[in-house]
Amino acid sequence: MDFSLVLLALFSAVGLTFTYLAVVEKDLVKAVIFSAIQSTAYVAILYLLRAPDIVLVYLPVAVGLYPAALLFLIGKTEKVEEE
Amino acid sequence: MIDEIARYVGLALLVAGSVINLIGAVGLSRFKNFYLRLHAATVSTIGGTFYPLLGLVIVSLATPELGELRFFMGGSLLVAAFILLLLAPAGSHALARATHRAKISRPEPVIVDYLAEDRGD
Amino acid sequence: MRKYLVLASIVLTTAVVAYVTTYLGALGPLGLDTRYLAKLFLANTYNPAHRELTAMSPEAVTSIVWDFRGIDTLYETVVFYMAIIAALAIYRGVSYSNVRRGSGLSLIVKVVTKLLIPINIAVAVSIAAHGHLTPGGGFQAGAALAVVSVLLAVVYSAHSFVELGVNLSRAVALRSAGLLAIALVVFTPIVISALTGTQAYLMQNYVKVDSAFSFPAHVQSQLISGTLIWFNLAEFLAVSFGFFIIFMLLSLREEVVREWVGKEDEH
Repeated sequence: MDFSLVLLALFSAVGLTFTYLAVVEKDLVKAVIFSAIQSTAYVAILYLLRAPDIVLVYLPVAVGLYPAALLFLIGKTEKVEEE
Repeated sequence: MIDEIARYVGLALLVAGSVINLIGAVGLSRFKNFYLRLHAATVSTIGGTFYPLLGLVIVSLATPELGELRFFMGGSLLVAAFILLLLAPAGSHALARATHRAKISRPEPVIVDYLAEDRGD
Repeated sequence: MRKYLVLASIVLTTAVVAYVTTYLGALGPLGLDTRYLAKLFLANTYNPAHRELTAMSPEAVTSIVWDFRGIDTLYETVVFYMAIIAALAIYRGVSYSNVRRGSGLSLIVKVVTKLLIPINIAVAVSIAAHGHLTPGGGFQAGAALAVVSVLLAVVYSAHSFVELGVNLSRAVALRSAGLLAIALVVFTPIVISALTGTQAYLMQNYVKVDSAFSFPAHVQSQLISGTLIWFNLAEFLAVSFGFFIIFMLLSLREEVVREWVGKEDEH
């Protein structure tokens, strides 16, 4: 059995968990951090699927730029999602 | 012979790193407040990531079967270890400082807090 | 209770998806058409024997992105360009000159960031300049350099852009220079062929069946893959300074922005 398949399943479980946490979380800053962790799991998945080009663009965008843009926007609006 | 010894030293660093990671994980889930948990987290960033990376540098340099490529591998691992050594303390420092300034985490009991006294709280 | 339900469903979903896609083979065999296309690309990305088909680059992704489907990528760049124009239009009239100096994070973080930024720039430039040889390319390098703008805004406050001399108009000018360089490479084959009285295609890289124009694939035996290196470097400039503009605008404090936008409404 190929070991990378086990790692793929593991990282997709981590990604799924943090997607769920990001969706249900009411504190938007925490939700952005959960989303960044989910992106990190996806980076590992893309690397295991041998797409290093996508990894190189996904890593700075999903872990650096996208959370930064969202955090700037949360700072300009409201921190907690309302019911 | 010397290659063999160096390789075992590197593997020992790897094993030590995983043990430290385990200790850090236990601390992260067992400690009571934010600052103590941050302390456990930095244990596993430096002890559990920096030392294993150094071990991998030694292992890759002591494996002549890899050919010329082993210098490339070892060099990039060394750079990664160096950057991690810079970034991990700075990141945890920024986290602790931001938490202290925002007064989010208030550990109980506080024996002494010179930083808050200096700032006049 | 709900927590355990969620945990169980996540584990179950992962297990079922993993089992179905690997052991049951639910994805099915790769279609013959797709396989043929993949073989064609792999056979032609670096193939000096077929100069009218090849992109002369060992990197299949960059060859596809900037040679085989170059016009698509050009329009993607245009979409990004329009998005930044929209951001600039929303923030119209906002000047960077009267931004006050913020304190930023502590000295420790500032010193570490000062050491890190040159490394980040070096990595970004190497991703761009090696885009035709190793994984990477213009957009990837631009995104890597854009992290520098986030670091500057967060660690040193928005005023650091002014101190470094990167104001909005300079960033716009540098980004436009990147776009102009792309346009220049796109139109070069047509212009040169028109001058010599032959014909060529837009974004042509090497000789085609009915066109003799060709960019140099090597410079002193170094592989530069014709147009690919120029496209990568130009896209790097355009994308990185596009992101710089976005984060320079976003890192302005809300009061400053409201002041300027409100001023315009009064007129």
